[in-house]
Amino acid sequence: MNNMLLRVYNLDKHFGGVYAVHNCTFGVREGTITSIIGPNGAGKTTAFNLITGILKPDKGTVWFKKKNITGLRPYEVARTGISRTFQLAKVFKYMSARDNLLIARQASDKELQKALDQVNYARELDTIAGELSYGNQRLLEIARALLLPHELLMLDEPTAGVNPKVRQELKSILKNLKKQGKTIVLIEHDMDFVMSISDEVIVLNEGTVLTSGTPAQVRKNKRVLEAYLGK
Amino acid sequence: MAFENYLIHLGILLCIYVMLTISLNLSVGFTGLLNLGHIAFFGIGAYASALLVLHGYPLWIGILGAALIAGLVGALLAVPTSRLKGDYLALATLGFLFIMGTIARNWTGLTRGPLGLPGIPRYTAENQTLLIIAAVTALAMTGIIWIITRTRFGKTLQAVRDDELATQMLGKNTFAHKIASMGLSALLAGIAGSFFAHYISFIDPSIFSSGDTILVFSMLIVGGLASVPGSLLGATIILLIPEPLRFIGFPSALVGPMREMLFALILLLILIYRPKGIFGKVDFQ
Repeated sequence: MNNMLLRVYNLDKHFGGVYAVHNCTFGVREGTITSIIGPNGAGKTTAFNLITGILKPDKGTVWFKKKNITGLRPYEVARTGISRTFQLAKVFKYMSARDNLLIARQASDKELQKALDQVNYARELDTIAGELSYGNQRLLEIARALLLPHELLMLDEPTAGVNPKVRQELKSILKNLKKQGKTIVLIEHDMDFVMSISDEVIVLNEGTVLTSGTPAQVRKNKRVLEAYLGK
Repeated sequence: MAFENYLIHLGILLCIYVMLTISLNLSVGFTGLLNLGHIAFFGIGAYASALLVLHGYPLWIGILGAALIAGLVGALLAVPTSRLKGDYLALATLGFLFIMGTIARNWTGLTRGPLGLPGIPRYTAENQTLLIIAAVTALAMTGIIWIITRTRFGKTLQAVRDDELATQMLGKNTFAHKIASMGLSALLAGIAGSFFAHYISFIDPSIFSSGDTILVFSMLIVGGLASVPGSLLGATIILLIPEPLRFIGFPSALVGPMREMLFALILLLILIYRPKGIFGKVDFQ
């Protein structure tokens, strides 16, 4: 059994009278790919935002590498070794791909190109990020997240808005990263994608963990089928 | 001789406006902070320098004081406004400009209120020498901004402009970067203010004018946001193009309104044909 890299205990976050995340508890093991799934509004992105300090939890704690990181600011969380991407690709649109990457870490052009090759990004380093296709912006954002020194990579819907070719590329990119020993947690709606790459799947519903387990276990779970797949 | 003096005067004013435009570009163009209070730092620098020198301190203390006081006030203003963006930040900084004007008018014990401060010693009696000093200072400021925008710090400021949250998630303390940007931008505007006070030899609370804010913003927009050469060109176009109106022979009552119309025409043409400004790299949002 691998060590737990990230643990989330009883997280609560409400907006007005609505709980976006409620009593949410789960863990992410080192060296694995963990997917968080759930219907729209299940609290997946809110959970990501609570872990990365973008939102402050009303209750509960977040532990990373056995250190309590609850309430840290986003840049402090990033410095502990958590790197993330967003639901809509967030690139620095007026800056070149090179400068986008250099914000993450000082590196030579050779290292930058290596980071881009890792995600099969085929454009020039000097291309302005805002002029890239959405798929390439997504790849650039992932390359940037990879370049930031990290131990946990969090990807929020990495396949959203990208074409099937890039989606296939992303699958092999994530598998390669896992082979290199990276720990990845991702939010995803594409079930084929999730089931084919995940070691563990966590199902959220109405802000609470409905169940978790291997893809095979989750696929057979009746509560998941009822709540998520509508069967 | 009179025409030569006029040209030197225009040259000095141009240098002062270049200092203001390039320093405003750091906070607005490169960091994305819609700061409408920039002229307040110019005014603070002018008053700080004038008061220090009028109270017997040497000129260099006046310039240093202008830079440090304006820079400190700029950094302090960035603290409470750091969570504001776009229109909200614009209103807060414009409000700060009005507050500074009100203080200058009412703190008569220090500023002499509407009577202003006359007899401010000049850097030098020779306008030609002053023009050289102004040109060197304006070029030095331009060089400093150009260098800063190429450093890791400068690139991070541009990242803050493009997406603050993404910048934070790359481990950058964006709050500290915004304070540094506003502080440095205000510091440079303070030096421009010192220059102005010791050139004109008289300042009063009208220095905190929203009209000058619009003028400097026009220079920035025409030249283009986040462009160093754009700031030089924008200040030159906006300041010099209306000047020939003085010599056409229109009645003096018409020259003022015609200047305003010409500004409006230039801005309209820029917004229609080059919405990012002549050398701009960033949309004005």
